[in-house]
Amino acid sequence: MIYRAIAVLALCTVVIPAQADSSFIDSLSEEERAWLKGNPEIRLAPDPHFPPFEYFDEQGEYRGMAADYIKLLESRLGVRFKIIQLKSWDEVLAQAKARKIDMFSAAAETPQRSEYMRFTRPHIAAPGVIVTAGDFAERLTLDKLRTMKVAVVSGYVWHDLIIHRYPEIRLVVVPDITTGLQMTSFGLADAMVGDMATTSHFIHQEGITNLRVGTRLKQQLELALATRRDWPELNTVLEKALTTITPAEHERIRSRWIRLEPPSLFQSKTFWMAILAVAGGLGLVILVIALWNRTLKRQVDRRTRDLRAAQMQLIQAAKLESVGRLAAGVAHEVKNPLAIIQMGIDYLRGVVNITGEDAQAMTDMEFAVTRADTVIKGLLDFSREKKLSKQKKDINEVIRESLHLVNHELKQRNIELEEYLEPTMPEFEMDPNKLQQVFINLFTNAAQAMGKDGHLIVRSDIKALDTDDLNGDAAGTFRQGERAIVIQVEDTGPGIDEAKVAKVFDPFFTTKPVGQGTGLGLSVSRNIIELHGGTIVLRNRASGGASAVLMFKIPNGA
Amino acid sequence: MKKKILVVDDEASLTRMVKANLERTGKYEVRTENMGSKAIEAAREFKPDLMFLDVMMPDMSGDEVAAALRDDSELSDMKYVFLTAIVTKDETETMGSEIGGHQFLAKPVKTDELIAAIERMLGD
Repeated sequence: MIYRAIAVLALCTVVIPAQADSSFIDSLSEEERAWLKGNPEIRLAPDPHFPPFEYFDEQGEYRGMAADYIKLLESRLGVRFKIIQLKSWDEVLAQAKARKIDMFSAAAETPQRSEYMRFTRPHIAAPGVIVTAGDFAERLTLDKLRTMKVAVVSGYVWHDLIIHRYPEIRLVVVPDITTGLQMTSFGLADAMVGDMATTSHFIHQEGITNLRVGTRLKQQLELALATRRDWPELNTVLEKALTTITPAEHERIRSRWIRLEPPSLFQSKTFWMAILAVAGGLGLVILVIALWNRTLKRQVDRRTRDLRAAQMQLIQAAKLESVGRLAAGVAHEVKNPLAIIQMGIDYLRGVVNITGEDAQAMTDMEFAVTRADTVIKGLLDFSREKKLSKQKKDINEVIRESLHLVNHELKQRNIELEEYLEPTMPEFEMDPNKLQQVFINLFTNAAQAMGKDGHLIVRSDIKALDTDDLNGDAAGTFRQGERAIVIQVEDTGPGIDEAKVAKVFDPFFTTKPVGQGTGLGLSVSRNIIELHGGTIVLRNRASGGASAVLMFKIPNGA
Repeated sequence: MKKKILVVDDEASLTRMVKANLERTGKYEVRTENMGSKAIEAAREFKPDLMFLDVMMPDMSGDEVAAALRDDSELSDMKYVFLTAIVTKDETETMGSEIGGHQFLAKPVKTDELIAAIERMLGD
């Protein structure tokens, strides 16, 4: 059983040699059948160098599309063509003229060739293309090649076409496709005209990278079988045989040999999709890199800002430490003499009955002691290491409490208070007493600047900062777009002398008459605000008067 | 009976005038010292009801003087009022209660303030 099964299998796989297709032979006429019998040897000379249509490989084997058709025809007809390898197409033509060969398997029909050969219908077709080096912005046509040097292979249909239809084109006639492509590649010719199949094949084979298979021409290369003119029977037999080749068989041969289906890389959807994909990918990579860079830059900026802030704090701390030591020394050395003067005044009052101007002198002296003491006290305040006693609180409360404390002074000066406080202010960690000191200082400054009559405007707000807000200290502490708590204390007084704006925070700077201010209030205020991570900026209002702008960070999660 | 007050400060002119100003009221018997070490001896001998004590003196600080006298049983009722040049007036008001019934006064101080302090510490 097993033996028989194997035998059946073996029978099925036996390769049957080229053998006449009996149904096809039956369809031939008597004469045709007789002719075939009487001419068993048909000499066929292919173009030795016309891939992918036909060529001889390194082993001398006949190959290509036409070779496949010949094999197919051999099986239909039950004949063997005698393949003769000649050196060139020119030689093939010469031998055909001399009747030393009987048949071409793939040749374009031309009037000259028709004088000695009879052509069948074309069985192979390939569109003509213009091959150029590099890219032309516009779509080239044969018309546009008129002023250019164009390479064509000697004797090919393109040669005839251009000579007859486009005589203005400056032709560079080359012996073979490779030469034409190389000349085009090196710029010795502006373009080459050939068929898509062969030019693509050679560009690929030669690895020429700078050539583009550009415009596909209306004209196409059509190759047909051709037989010697004095053998009409062979022509009709082949013509009939060609009709039996099915579309599937045509397609199989075609797809086996035509490497590049699209006429041009640049007319190909897939190519553009690929370019798009690659460009998209690259774009994405660049975007990612750009974003990453931006993130890095931001980080660097932030770190730099932090470092600068830390450095400023260190400098400030060192400054305060030395000022503090100095202040302590000054306080001790000045306060003791002040104490002696004060005691002296008290003593004199006790021992002498002082009246009139003498009593005024005593009062003035006592006032001088108090003034000197106030300066020393301010200096100590300014220099002393501030330890904040923090608690979570709404800054509006601190503002209201401070306003309450200065209310009396405002009334005395007939200053009207305008309060615009943001109702939903997030609480943050603060030392309410210290901030109260700041606000009282600011309110008092404003009141004193206005003297009598005026408006004190107090605003609190939460806002996204814009460039206008980032002046002075604020520029180093806050970022554009950052949301912050902003407090504004505005007055309708004379404003600040622009030349002095930069100095207002310097210790001992004052615009007040001698004896009315220590010049320490604003510098102490700034210290306190800085200890809260905030900033204070003074500026003039457009509508007149001065404005102090305090900004605080919104706590995380608020 | 007059209250006994010891005034200790390295500034002799200050102690002299404080003595004069206080004694003029007729309520106090005042003794002065200008050095910390001398102040300890004077306190043991004079046994004051209250001592004005300068915090910063060249030989020893007011703290050290007070510490030396703290364990003296005969002086256990003595009150201290520290006089200081460094602590500011605002702080003396809040700190006073924290230091075991003693009080701080910031220089420059007026006679009236000294008297008020004595009265507060010793009762009228």
